[in-house]
Amino acid sequence: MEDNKFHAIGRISRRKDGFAKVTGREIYVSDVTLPRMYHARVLRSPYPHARIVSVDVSGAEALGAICLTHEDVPDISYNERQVSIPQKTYRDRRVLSDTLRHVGEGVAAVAARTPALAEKAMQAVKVKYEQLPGLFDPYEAMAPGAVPLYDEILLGDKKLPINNNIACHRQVGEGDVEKGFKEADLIVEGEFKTGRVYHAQMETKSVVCRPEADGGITVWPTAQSIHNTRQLLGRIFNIPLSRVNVHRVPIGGAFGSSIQMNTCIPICVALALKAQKPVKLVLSREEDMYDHCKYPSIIKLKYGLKQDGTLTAGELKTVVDIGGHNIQAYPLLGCMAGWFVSLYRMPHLNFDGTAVYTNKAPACAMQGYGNPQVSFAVESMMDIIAEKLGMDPIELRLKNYVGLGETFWGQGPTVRSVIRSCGVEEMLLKGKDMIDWDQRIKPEIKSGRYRRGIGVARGFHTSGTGAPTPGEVIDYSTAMVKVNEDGSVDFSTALMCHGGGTLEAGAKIVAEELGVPVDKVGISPSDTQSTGYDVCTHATRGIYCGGASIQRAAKKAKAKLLEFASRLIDVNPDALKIYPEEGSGQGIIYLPGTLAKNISVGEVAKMAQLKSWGTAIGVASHRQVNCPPCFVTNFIEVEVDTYTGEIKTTRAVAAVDCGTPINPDLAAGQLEGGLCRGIGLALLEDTDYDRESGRLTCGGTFIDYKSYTPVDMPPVDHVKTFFADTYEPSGPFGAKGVGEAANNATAAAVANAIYNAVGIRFKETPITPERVLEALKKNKP
Amino acid sequence: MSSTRIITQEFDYVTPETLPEALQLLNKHGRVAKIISGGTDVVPQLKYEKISPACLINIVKIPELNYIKQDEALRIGASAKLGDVKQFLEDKPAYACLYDALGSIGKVQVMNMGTLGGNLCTASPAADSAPPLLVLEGRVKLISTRGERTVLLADFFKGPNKTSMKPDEIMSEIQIPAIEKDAGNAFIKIARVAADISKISCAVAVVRKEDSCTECRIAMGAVAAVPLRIQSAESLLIGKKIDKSLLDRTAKALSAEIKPFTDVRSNEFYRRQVAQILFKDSFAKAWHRAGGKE
Repeated sequence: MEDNKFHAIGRISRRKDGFAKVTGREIYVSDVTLPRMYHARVLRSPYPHARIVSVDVSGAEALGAICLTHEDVPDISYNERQVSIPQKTYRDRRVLSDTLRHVGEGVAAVAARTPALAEKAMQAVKVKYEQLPGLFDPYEAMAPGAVPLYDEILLGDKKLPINNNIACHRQVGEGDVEKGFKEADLIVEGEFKTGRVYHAQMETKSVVCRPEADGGITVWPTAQSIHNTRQLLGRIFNIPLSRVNVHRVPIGGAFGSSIQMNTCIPICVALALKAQKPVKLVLSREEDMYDHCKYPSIIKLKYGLKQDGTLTAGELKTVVDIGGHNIQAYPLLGCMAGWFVSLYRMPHLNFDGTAVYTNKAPACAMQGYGNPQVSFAVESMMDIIAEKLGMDPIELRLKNYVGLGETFWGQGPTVRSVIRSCGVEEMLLKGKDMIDWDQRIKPEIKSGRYRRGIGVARGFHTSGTGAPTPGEVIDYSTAMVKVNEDGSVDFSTALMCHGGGTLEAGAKIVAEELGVPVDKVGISPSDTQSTGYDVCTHATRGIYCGGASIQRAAKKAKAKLLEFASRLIDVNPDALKIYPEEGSGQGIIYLPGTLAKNISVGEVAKMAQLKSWGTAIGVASHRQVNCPPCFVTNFIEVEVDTYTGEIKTTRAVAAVDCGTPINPDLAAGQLEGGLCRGIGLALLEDTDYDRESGRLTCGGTFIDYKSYTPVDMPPVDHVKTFFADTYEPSGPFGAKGVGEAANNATAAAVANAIYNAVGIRFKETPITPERVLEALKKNKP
Repeated sequence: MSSTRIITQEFDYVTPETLPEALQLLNKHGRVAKIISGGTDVVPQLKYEKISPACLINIVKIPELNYIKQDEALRIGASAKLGDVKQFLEDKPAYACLYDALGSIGKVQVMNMGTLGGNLCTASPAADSAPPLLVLEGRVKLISTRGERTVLLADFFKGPNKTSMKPDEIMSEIQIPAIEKDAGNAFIKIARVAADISKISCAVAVVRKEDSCTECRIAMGAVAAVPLRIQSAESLLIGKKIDKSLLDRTAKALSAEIKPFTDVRSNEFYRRQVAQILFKDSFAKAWHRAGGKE
C-alpha cells in the first residue's frame, strides 16, 4: 500500500506477542501451575457405543484420587456451543453421561497429586459396559431399524424426539426450482464428498480450574469465547456469573476447534469443586483427536443453465455425518445453504440438508464452517459446466457471481446483508495473468509422465454474523480503551487471537484512531470479570466486528482526551487532531494550521490526572449490522506423476478481498496458511474409522495423521499473494475478514488443476496417490 | 486410552557409561531389558505399552558407541545420531543412497535424537536406513559378554520388530565395506508428506562396465515383513547389457517377489504398482551416478 494514508493501519509492525511466543515465555494453559494443584485424567470409552452398567472408583479413591462419574455430575443437558439463541440450540451433552457414543468419550475422571498418580488412579477405575452396535455410515444410521443413538434430546428447554438418528434437517428454497430446471438448456449433476479432517491445532485442549473460597471458580481454558464458557459453567454448576471468572489464555491454534466450550472444561470444574483444590486437565493428542474434527460432507449438486452460461436454477442436497454429538449442525446447514446461495446467482433454488448422528468423534466448526465443502462441489461443478459449454472457466464465473449491490447470506437465511465492496473481478483477472492462465492447455494434449495443470476456484467467507435484525445467532463485541498518564494506551476486550494477529489489528485500530504510535498501545490481559460480552472469535469476525467495537471505544476515549486538551490549550475540541510524533513516541494533539497550539497526549492525560479531571476512557458494546463477504480466489498449479499418482503443488496465487488489510504481512500469512490447509483437505486429510473397534485407523497421533506442511507447499517464491483494492464502508478503516476465506476455495482449485493435468475429475477428497493411480489405470485409453 | 503425555509404566532406568558396564547389565537383565539410545522409537513404544521392560538401559553416555570413521570400510557407532551420519556423508557421493535415505526422514527432531543403530534395531519394515545399508552390503557388529559377531544386515532382520540379536547382545557398529569402482547407488521413497514414514522405498546399487551391469543389488522397504533384498531381480541384471526391456522385465519380476500389505499408509494394490516404478527410478539414478547413460 504505497499510498497508505494511515500511520498504523496497513503497516507492518513487530507483533506484540512475538517475542514471548518464539522464546517460549508465553504462558499457555498447559503452563499454568497453581499451588496445591491436582492433575486430572479422563477414563475414555474403548467402545464406539455402549451403556455404562457400573463404575467402581474404590480402587482409585484408595490411591487418594478424587473421582467423578456420571452419577456425580449436575443433572443438566447442555450444548457446548452458545452462539445460537437458545431456541435453536440442540442439547444432547452431559458433563459425563451413562451412554457412550464414540470411542474416546469420557466415562469417568480422576484427579490426584501428580500426573503419574492420576494415571494409576484412572487405571484402577473399574467399569462394566453393555456394548451396543456402532454406526459408522450416515445412510446406515438413517436406515429403518438402525440402533438409535438418542431417543430424545433438548431443543432449547423443550424435549425433542430423535428419529432415524437424524440430528436435524433444514430446507431452504427460493423461487420455483422445478420451473427453473425446466427453463434450462442444460442440466448438470454430480455428487461430491469431503472428509473428516482433524483440526490439528498445536495445543491440545486444556484447562485449569481453581475453586474459590466464596464458592466461585476461576478458570484458565483453551477457548475462543471466554464469556460463553463462563455462562455455560455458571448454568451447569449453578454459580452466579459474578463468581465465575474465565481468563483469556493465549491459544496454541484453534481452526475453530474451541468455538464451543470444550467438554474437558466442565469435567475439570466438577473435579475441582469436588476436590476443593485447583485441578489441571491437559488432553493428550490422542484424546484430542477423538474429541473433534471438521464436518464432512456428501453433496448432491444440480444446476440448470442457459446455453450462454446463465444459471436458471440450483439445488444442493447434503448429508452430514456429525458423529456422536450435535455441536452446531443446525446453523451449519443454514450456513451451507448461505454459501451455496451466495456463490452464484440463481433465480430458483433449493437447499436440503440432513445432519446424522454416527458413533464417531463429534464434528464441529473448522475453518470455513461448511464453506470449503460447498465450494469444493460448486467450484468443481463450475469447471465441469464451463467445459460442457465450451466457455473459459473464468468467464463463466464472472457471469454468475454474486457481487456488488446483491444480497449475501453471511450466516444462513436469517443473516443477510447487501454487498458494498467486491474485488471478485479484479482478483480473477489479475490472478489469471500471474499464473499464466492463457498458456493453459487442455489435458488431452498433454503427454509424458509428469503432467502439469492449472486450476482456479473462487469463494468467500462472511465477516462476522451481524445483520440489521437479530437472527438465530448472537453477534456483538465489547471493548474498553483508556489513555494512560504517559501517553500510552491500554485496550481490553474478550476478543481472542488464534495466532492470526486479531489483537495486533486491534492495537493498530486504537493507534490509528487515537493518533498514537502502535508501539504505545498495550493489549490488556482479559477475563470475564473485567470485560464486557464478546460472542466468540469465530466466523471471521475478529477484525470486522471486534475491531469495530474497539474503534468505537477508541473514539469515545479520544473525545474525552480532546475535551481535556481543549481546556489546557483553549481550543474547541472539535477542531483538534492528533498525529504520532516519531521522535518522542507521543501522540501530538494539534490545531491544524498553527504550530503554537499543540500538546502531547501524555501531557494531557497527566494534567487530567493531576487536576483530578478523570481518565480519558471509552467503552463500546457494538453490533455490526452487516456481514460483508471477504472474497477469495485461488489459482493452483499441480504436477501429477502419472506413474505413481503423486501430486505436487508447484505454483499458487492466492488473493483475498479483505477490504483494507490491517496487518498486511499477517493477512498474507493467513492466505498461505489457508492454502496449506486447503491443499491438505484436497490431497491428504481425513479421519477413517475401523468399523470393528470404532477406533481411528490413524491411531490418534501425528505418526499416521498427516497434515500438509510448509515443506510440502510449492517453493516460497512460487506462492504469490495479493489483496484486492477495495474498501468496506462498514468496516473499521475499511477492513473485512480474511481467516476462513483463505482456505475456502483451495480444495476445488486443486481438483480443477488435477483435471487440467490429467483429464480426470475427482469428486471425493482426499485425492490420494492411491485413488489417482487407480483412476489413471481405469481411464487408460 | 493410553497417555501420550507421560510414560505411565514403571521400570528401572540405568545409564551405563562404558560398554563393559552395559554388557554386564544386559547379561544380568537381558531378557527383561530394553536398550534405549535416541528414544525416537522406544519412547512411543513405552507410551503405547507396546513394550514393558523391567529395565531400560540408556546407552547414550557410552562414548565407545558414538563415532563415525572411515578406513577401508565405513564404520559407524550404533549410537551415532542420524543427523551426524548424514552430515558425515555429505561430501561422500559413494554413499549417496544412505545420504538420501537419511535426508528423506525429514524431521529435525528425529535427525537430532534418533540413531542409526536404533533405526536398524527397531526393525521396522519401513526403516529408511535399511534398504541403502542392504544394497551397500552392510554388516552389524553384535557384542555380548560372550564375545562378538558380525552379521550381514540381510540376515539381521527377522520380522516386524524382530532381529537376530540375542537378549544379551548390543549392536555396537554398522560396517559398510569399501565401495567398488564405477559404482553408483540411489534411494527413493514414496511417503504421504515430506516428513513421513515410507509407504514404500527402494535402494539400488550397481557397478557398471560400459553398457553392462556387473553388480546389482536391490532392496525395498515396506513391501514385506522385513526390509527386503530382492536377489531374484538382481540376478536378471548382473552381467547384462542394460536396456529398457530388460529393466521392464526386472521390474515385473521384482513386483512378483514382494509381499506388499494394506495399512493406514497405503494399500497392497498401490504398493505393488509403484514398486516397479520406484525400482526403475532408483536404478536409473544409480546407473547415472555410476556414469551410465540414461
